[in-house]
Amino acid sequence: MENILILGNPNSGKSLLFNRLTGLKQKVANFPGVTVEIRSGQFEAFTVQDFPGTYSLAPLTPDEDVAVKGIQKYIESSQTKAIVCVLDGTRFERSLMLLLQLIEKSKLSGRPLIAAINMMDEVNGKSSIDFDGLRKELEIPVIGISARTGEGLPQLKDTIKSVQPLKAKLSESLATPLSLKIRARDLHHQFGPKGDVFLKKQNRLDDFFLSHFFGPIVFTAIMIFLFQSIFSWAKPLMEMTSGTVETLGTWTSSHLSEGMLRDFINDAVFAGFGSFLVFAPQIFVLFLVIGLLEDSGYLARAAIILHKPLSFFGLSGKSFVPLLSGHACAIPAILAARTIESPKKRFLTMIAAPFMACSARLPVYALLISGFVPATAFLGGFITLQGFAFFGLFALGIVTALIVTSLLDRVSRKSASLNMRDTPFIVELPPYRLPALISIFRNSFNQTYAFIKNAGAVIFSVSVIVWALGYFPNGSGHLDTSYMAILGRAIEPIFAPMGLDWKIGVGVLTSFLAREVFVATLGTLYGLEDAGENLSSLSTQLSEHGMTAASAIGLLVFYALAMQCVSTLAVIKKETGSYKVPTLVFISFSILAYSAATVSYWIFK
Amino acid sequence: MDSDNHSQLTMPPPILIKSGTLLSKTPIEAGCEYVIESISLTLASDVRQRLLELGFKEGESLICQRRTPFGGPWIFEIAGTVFSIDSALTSAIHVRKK
Repeated sequence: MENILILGNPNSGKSLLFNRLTGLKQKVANFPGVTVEIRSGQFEAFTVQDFPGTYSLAPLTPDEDVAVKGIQKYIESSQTKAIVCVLDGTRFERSLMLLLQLIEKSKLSGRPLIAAINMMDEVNGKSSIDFDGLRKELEIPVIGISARTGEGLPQLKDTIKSVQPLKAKLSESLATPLSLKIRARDLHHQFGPKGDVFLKKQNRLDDFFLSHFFGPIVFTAIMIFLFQSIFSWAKPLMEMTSGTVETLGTWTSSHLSEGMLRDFINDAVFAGFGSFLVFAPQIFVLFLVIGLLEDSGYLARAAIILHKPLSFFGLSGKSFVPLLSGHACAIPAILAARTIESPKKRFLTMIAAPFMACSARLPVYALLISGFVPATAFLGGFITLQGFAFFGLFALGIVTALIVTSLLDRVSRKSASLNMRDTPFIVELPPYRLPALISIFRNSFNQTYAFIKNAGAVIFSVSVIVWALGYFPNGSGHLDTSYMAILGRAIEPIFAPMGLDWKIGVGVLTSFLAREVFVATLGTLYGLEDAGENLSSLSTQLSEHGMTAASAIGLLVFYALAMQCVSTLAVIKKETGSYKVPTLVFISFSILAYSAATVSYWIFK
Repeated sequence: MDSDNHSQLTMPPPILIKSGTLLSKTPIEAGCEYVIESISLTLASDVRQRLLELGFKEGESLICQRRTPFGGPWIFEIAGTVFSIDSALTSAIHVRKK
């Protein structure tokens, strides 16, 4: 099948064009994240490839590196039908740089190139673009489109289908960045829009969003809204998922006769994997809100507001988006760190991301807080002690991450062998725009689906292993004589200083593969079929089996700090290209978590 | 990062002669316009190339818009696009006031 490449600068609207061309027929390669994924989809008989935005064919960030390597590969492939370069008509001169570089490349390979000048709905009325002049000058098809309104898309589709390969040029171009820049300036003056299409409106909004007084207030309000939305907007969806899992579990049980298969489906599939699925809506809502903020142009402003405070801890304003994503999952967060140019700040961001209170920690927090923290209300019920405990755990992760990155930054500055390359901070401020809701909704859905598919395999496997170890050799109801009991008692001395018995120890041990397995493991071990859905009953079981408030606090601290996620370690290995980094991260996070948890237990005992 | 593998059509950025005052040592005021005299050679070549691609080149006008909260990066308008740059960059750009 022939490929069509969609390329362009960041924020040029190419993802929206991709969605317009492919509709629902698309998939996200690798784990999803903000601007780092390569997506593919179907447009009629073609496969459309959407690459991360890049300013140039000389990459500066790892995500641009992904894009440029992909471009190289596809430009040389005979399976490439056409390359569509998306330009932002409102920032025309800057967009022309990449187009001019691509023209040189496509002439060399003979692959046809189409220039799609986007945002024409915003350009029209304020200015105009001379398309005929550009076609003659550049000798390629130039089409004005609006991915938002659909304007010009039929013409673009026809051009994609009918475009013919170019006659390949044999010699390499001698164009320099400076000569290309001068040509882009000339083309802009000759054929581009006249005057500022956007800047006045953008400046007025920045006067408010970046003001010294309102800027930080608005930022704080938006962050509160974001975290609130994760809990409140996701709640009905979580209840719906939980109800569906429960109904399916009951229905399946009623249609199976008693025996090993029924026990397996109840305890491993529905209690284990089902309890993980319940938390998928929170991940969806987080992707949705981040998508809204990114599309509106606010995320770049948030990164700028936070640049100075984060610099103190060795990070960059660009670390903000990965760390924000880390509250859904550390994996997209680590991948999103690719957008950071500075290798040093990127590394520190990757180390900080796993400390963020990811959604996999939420079921553990919910279980222990509901069972051991009183629901005392303050300020007329506006704040509860349980809510405060949640906030404290989020804050513990963030503060620990900042202390760790700060220490690493200072140590690396003093040690020549540890010092890494640092590059200056430069961020383009995209225009403020109304978000394209349908496109964001669709992207969030695709990203959540990709997350479930990738993480689900590990969680399902762990659930099956835990169930098998707890079931055999004597079957259901004989946990105390199972292989799991033998294993649990062997490791009990390790967890005894934290005030935990062997069953909790087994829960902690299995959750080193994935944190969310903890609730399902305990559910299985205590003989509950619906562990993920009836958290309060499981917490009652915990206190009945001797767990105290002090050991619950110790366990919460442990979960806030420990590196319990095989997938995250695998992604760190992939991103750093080293086994040493994830090994050191695992060991140091575990020692830190164990020590802090033990100290907390003894303080509150 | 290996940027050279992917920049066959590009050449090293031109060597710019140091002149003008460093932006970081210029009293920057919102609304003021500056002209770029040169970019410091202390910056890595790939960073200089990116700056050039974004429009930071000799003779280009730089309009200061504002400083961000908490004493953060400055915001400048250049060639119809708005950028935020930190002190590491303002101390590598030589300018004169227009």
